[in-house]
Amino acid sequence: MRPPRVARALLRVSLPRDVRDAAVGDLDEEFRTHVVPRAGLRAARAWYWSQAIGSLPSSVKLRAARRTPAPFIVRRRPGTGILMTDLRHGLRLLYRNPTFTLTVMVTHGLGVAVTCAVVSIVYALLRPLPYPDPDRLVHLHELVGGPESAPGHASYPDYLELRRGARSFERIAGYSGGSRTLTLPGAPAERLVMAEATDGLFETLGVAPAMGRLFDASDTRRDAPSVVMLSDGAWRRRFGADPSIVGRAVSLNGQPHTVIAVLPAGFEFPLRGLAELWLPVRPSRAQQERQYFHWMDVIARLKKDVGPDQVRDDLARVAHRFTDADPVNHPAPRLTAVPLHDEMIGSLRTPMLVLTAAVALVMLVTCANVAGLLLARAAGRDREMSVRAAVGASRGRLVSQLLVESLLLGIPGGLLGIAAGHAAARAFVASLPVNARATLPNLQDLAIDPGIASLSVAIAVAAALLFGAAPMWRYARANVSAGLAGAGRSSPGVAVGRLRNALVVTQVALALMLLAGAGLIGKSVYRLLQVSPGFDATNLLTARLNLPPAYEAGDRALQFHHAFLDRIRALPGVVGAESIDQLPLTGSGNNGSFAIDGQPHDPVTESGRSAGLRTISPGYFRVMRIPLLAGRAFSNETATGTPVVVVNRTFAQRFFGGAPLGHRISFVFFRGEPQWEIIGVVGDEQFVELDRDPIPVVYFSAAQDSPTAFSIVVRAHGDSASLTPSIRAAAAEMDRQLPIFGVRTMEQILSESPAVLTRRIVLSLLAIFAGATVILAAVGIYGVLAEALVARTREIGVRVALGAARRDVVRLMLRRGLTPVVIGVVIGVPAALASARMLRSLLYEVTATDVTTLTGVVVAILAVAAIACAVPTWRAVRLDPASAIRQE
Amino acid sequence: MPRGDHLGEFEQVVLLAVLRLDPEAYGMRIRREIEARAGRRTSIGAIYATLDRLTTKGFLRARDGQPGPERSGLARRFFTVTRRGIDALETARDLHARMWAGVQLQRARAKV
Repeated sequence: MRPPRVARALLRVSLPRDVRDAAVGDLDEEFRTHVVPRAGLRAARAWYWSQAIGSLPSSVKLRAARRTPAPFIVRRRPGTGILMTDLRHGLRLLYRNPTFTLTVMVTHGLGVAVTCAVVSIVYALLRPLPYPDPDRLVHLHELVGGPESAPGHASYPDYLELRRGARSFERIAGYSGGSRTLTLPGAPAERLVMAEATDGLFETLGVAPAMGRLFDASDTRRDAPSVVMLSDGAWRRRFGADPSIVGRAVSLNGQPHTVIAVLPAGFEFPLRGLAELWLPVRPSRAQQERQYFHWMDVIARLKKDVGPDQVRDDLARVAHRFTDADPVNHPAPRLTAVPLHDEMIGSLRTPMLVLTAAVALVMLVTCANVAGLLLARAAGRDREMSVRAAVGASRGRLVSQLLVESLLLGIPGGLLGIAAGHAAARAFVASLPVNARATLPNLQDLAIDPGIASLSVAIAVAAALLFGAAPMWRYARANVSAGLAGAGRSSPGVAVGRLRNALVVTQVALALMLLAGAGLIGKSVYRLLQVSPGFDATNLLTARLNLPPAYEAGDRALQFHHAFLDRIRALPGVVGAESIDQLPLTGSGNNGSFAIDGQPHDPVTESGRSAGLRTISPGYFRVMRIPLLAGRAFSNETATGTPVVVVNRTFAQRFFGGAPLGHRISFVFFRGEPQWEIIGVVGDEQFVELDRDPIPVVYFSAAQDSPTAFSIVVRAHGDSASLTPSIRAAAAEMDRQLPIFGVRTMEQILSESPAVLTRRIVLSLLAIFAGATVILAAVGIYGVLAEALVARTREIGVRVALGAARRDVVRLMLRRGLTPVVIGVVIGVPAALASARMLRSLLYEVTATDVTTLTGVVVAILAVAAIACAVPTWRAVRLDPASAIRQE
Repeated sequence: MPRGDHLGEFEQVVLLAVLRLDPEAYGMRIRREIEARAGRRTSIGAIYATLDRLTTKGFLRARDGQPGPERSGLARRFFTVTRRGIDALETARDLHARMWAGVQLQRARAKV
């Protein structure tokens, strides 16, 4: 029989302290002894609520009755300094006016919090990478195709050539990635993300191991003993931070590997962000020999004092040597060097800079707002200040008093804001998907950076002083006699009123700009998710499998493939299960250039004639619901039958004018053999990015080219994620050493794909901003009107007494409140249009001048403004003319 | 009559309720008494706002009583009417009586 807790708390908070216990006790008693027995618990709770809410107006009266007017004269206690006196006086004033104090603190706190959160994140992303001399680190890209080909990987021979021939670099090293199954005694096998490095990678970065030794050249030979380096995280989580781990053997893919090092705790390499294991690169014979086998990433450290021109010339010279060595596969290669940092944060840099600009604006709005609130209060303190000046307070004293007051207001709000901002930044980072977090630099644990913390404090204090300056400006010019003459008639000066209006105009314009930006990006994200990826992503579960080397012999991989898919198809709730070697939107996958049978051989056209290569199980198109446009799909191909492929629509259009059936193609990497016959055309499936055009793709049948690493796609009747345990169990039944990893629904893959994710990051930051600015603008509008009401109480009273209708009062108030809003909108719309251009790279299927978005934003802002106007207007309407006139 | 001694209508109702409940007048009982006898529903906050005003004017005196479990351990605050309160009530009643003396309400006219 407990009274409703929230209602009770509400009542307690609203009542003044001396009445609180008696009144709440009375209500509790009546609730228990009378209302519940008579009406039942439900009705009694409703009754309690009505009592608590009904008591609110009286509570306000009770509080008002207790408030004694603030003393005008500040008495200095003997022995206390001026500062202490000002502090005491300031505290007393703030305490007496809790609504004002709280509004200022919350407004200021909000501004500082948003600033702090965004600056933390932006600074983390944009600050130099955590390596010595990070500016000299570059990522090298090889572009093998025509001028429009995308930056790509290097082959192993190319890498060796670079190491031999390039002169502008101190060091060059390569890396790649993959995964390994780790088996620890007494634990189920687990698939870990692994990175492979050539010798010299860590030296290039300038990273030394926490213990043990780095890879040397001998580790990269295929016959060398197997070794592994552990990340600090893996060492702690999986090996209990065992101090004697170096020299021990761990089982990876069933093979013992000797641990040679543990990497330092702070080490991160976002380009292989999730890697827990580092193995030496050991190129296969094919990788060592074949120039066209482009699979490695290459980074390098520039020599000191090497300019961009030198680098360009140097790389052009090396690229020529590629052509000399292998003219067939390198007809016109180019090499580019991209700063490593750009490689990591990619397209985020511009939006981050835009956000930083936005943060400055929000902070400005905050200051403007608090300044506005202080000005409104200053209007009511003319008399106090005039009296104090009249009895001998110097202008300096008055100003120092105001200074102390604004610091008293600003510092607690600022500190709260800093704490809230850091919490928000961390929450934001935590909300990112794990792989996104790991692939962005400096985000792993976003600690309170001392630089940012002190910057935040500085901002908070500076803001406090800045907004404190507004009333100072007023009093520094105060004319004592005018203040006294006007005493009691607390109408603010025309100049102050204008300033406040200007503040509201600015806020509305800013809020409109930010909201419009958020709206445009929000719409882009929505449109992107509406883009058909070419298949039906609903109720699809995906997972990845790597078969251990034991499966490489004979057709064991293919047999396993068949048996495993059959087993999953038999699970309840499964509509179909198929496989593909590289899922859509999960990375570039294999690419290759090809020759068309019957066309003259020409290396240059052929190298530009490149397609994505995928290997699928026969029913893949059916399960993915990809339409068959012409010919037939795979059925029961065999390894010894005619080699056949299916191509997508883009492939068919680009290379065969839409009629590829019956043509035969051959691939350079198969040394021209065999000739593959095109038997079917399917709809385009989006492999690369949702916001790009589909690439040409050739599908092979797993029966004719069985991969040992592949993903499965499982279509379910309903929620596909619920199939996860039974799929894991099915894999474990077939081979305990086979962990299933990377289990994700297809919808998850879509929403975490880079095109969507980048925009989602920017969108959430902009939304935080826009939200904060709108709140700030609403506070500002409310402030203007509340002040106008105070200033015009007498006028409104007279008007009503002379027969003005309610309608006229409402019109008066709304005109006063909404005029600056409308001006703000008029300024804000073109400003929003201009600023939206900065976001253009992030917009998708939305123009920067999208009318619907802008209209929506304007309507939203007007609605918020109307709400902010409502309370003061309502109070004005209810004004009792008699008391309003008598008031002064 | 000093201006501060003027009693509003609701103040009179509350003072009378306190007198009726004497010496057991506290917030809950006052609220219920007014509800039962005057048929007027009020919030506990309104009762306390009036009790507070009357105490400030010197018409009521408050003392705290014992807490009880049915009150979540919060003490009752009992009110008694002071001499000044009685005077104010009498003044109000006399005022009414004097003003009413000889007045005949004409229902027909009052309806207009």
